Amino acid sequence: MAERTMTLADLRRGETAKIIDIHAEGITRQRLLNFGFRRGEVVKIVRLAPLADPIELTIAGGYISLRRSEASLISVEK
Amino acid sequence: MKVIAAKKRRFTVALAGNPNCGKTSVFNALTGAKARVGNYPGVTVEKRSARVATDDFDIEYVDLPGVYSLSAITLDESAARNFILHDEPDLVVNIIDAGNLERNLLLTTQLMEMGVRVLLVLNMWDEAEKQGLSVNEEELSRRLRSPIVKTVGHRGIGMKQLRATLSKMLLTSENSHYSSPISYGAVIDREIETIAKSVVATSCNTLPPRWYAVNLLENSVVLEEFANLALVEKADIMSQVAKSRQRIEQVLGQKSEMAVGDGRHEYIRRTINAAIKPGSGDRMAFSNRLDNILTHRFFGYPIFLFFMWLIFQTTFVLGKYPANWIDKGITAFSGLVAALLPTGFLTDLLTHGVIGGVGSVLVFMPNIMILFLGIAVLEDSGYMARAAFIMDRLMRGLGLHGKAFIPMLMGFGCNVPAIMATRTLESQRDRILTILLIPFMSCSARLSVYVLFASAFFAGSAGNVIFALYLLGVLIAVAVGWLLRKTLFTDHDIPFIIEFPPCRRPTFRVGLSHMWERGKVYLHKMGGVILIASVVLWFLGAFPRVNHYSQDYDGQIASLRQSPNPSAADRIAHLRAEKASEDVAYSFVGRLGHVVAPILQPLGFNWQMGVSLVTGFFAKEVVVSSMGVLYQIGDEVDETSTSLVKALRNPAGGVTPLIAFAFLTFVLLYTPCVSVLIAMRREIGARWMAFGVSAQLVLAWVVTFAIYQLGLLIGLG
Repeated sequence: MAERTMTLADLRRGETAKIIDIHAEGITRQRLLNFGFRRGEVVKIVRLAPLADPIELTIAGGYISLRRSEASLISVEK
Repeated sequence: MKVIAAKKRRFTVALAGNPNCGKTSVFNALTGAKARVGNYPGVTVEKRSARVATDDFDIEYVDLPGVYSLSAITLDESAARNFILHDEPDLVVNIIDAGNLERNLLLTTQLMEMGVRVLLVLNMWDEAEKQGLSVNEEELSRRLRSPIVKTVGHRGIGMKQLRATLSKMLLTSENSHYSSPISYGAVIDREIETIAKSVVATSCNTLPPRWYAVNLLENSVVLEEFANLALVEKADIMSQVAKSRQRIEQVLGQKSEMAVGDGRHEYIRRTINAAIKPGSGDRMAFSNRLDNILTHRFFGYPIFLFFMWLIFQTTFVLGKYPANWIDKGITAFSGLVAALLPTGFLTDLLTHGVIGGVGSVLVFMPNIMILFLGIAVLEDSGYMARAAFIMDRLMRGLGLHGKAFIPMLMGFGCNVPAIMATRTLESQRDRILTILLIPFMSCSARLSVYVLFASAFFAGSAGNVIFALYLLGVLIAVAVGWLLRKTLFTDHDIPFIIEFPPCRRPTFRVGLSHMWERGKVYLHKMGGVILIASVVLWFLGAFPRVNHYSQDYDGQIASLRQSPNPSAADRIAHLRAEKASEDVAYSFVGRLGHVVAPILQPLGFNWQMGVSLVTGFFAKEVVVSSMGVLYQIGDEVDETSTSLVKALRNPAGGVTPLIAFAFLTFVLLYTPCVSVLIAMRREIGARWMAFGVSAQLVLAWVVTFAIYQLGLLIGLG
């Protein structure tokens, strides 16, 4: 459990974390970069959709929604 | 006209910006909302443009698709990029959401590198100012090497200044290269320089070499221009790129595309820090509180369903009134024309074919315009993003984007506006998939067929039968969606990464212009084709004419007219109906109906059913009136006609409840009407349209066959 790196998908509502790495490829990575997802950037989980997926977070002054599957490609530390 | 026209100087001005930056409202304010809407060559990415002529200028404004970057990964991005590269606009007006500079300036830096002249527009300035943001315009302008204008597009504020700056720039644009290098930090800059040098050495030197270099390091698709290069040259460049990537990765410890992205970001941050004092307010504060309710675990869905109900009702229930007026007006007009002209082929063509055809085009207008007013309100207020957020998990079951719910739902009213509404979806894959599934939503025209048969054969449980058909359509859509994703659309899911714009009060201006524009698109791009198709279908239904009827109807009617017998009127009506039935059976459509009859026999259908299915291609509700004619009830039946219900139920006709249900299943599935096909062709091209129709015909037959034969097997026949 402790071995596995934490990802954005593991965070709960209201939690803040710093991005360590982005493992996405292709169009997903491009989109993430466009929205300011970068190493060292701080994100905060704002809320979850009623079915707990997708999630809404703030990053670089914007409010962004992404699916859990996409959030799990972004490793973070608290 | 006058000679001055020749002296006018012609320019092309492109508007570029992120989604949700208010670009369209600036475009409308600049051009007076006179947009022509078409597609970019070869793709179904919408191109909006407008020509504005003043005393000195003749400017073609092009509203590029809203994009976050020009990496050319999505269709929208490559359309925008190709336009800038190949159509070489004289000026690019870059619209920026002043409340979100950091993200919006990414596109700006890419435009700067492409070497186009940029005019920067800080839009939605009122909101940013309210948050306390202040900008050192001189500094920002110096750093980004472009003039700056502040506007509030949807209120038309700042347009005078924008026009003035624009004209000034156009008049002074003599030299062509404006490429402004941005610094990515020493390590990357050095590699960019090296690659740029090897690009300059090749025959590919029409665009800023630094821009090529950056693109190669960012890995944003292989540039088309490279196709023209000699193999040796290409290999040279690529080996240089590989070396540079390696060095960057070694020194900076991350992939080169990430490193380049970081460098760009640092540059943007430096610019912002130097020229902008951020406000203290959070413009999302109000939205955030609202979102707690709009996306609430318990309240979110009821609120969403309420809005959907509201839009559906206004579109199709309220929209019925103007549609009925149009219908009545057309009928009255056609009657008037018929009365004025001598009877004959040309009069028939004009009244039934052409005027009737115009009617069948216009009848969709109220629905389309009201629906797009509703969609404009959803988009403009920011609710669309919230709706997509709460619907995404559910729609993923169909392999679709959260936003696809709206076109699917509208399909229950009418498939034509529903298909047009797929324009709100970003990816082409989602659009195609959604459009292929929309026809399984039972539109209101199909409902009239359901009502007729359900009341004829399932009097006690008509409601249940109709509900079952709606449900069957949805279940089949789910199954077909699943199948398509397993076979034709196997490519990875498109990422669902969207931005929440602040909730805003929608403006009347935006709503109305959107509504007009969609109405115009429909009339221009589809109206003509629907009209022609209607005339052709009318012709096929009316010709060839019967030369020798089985009996002398006209003579009998004439003599009955003289007769004092009180039952004569009934007899005349009966003869007329018989004659009409003979007409239809003899026409091309009738013959086609007879041709397909053997194919439909395993489904239990009689020839009347076959013929009316063929006529249903014109519009689904025509199935009902065709039944009326073929069962010799007369022309003017609707789904509540008791005499038609009786005729259908007559055991001599051989229609059992099982056959009736099979027939309704077939009507649900077999093919959308001709107007829907034309809308499909416009949105996804003739090939996908043909695929959709063939698949539906096969599916309809198979499912109906299964239902009928299973029903017989368990003794329902």
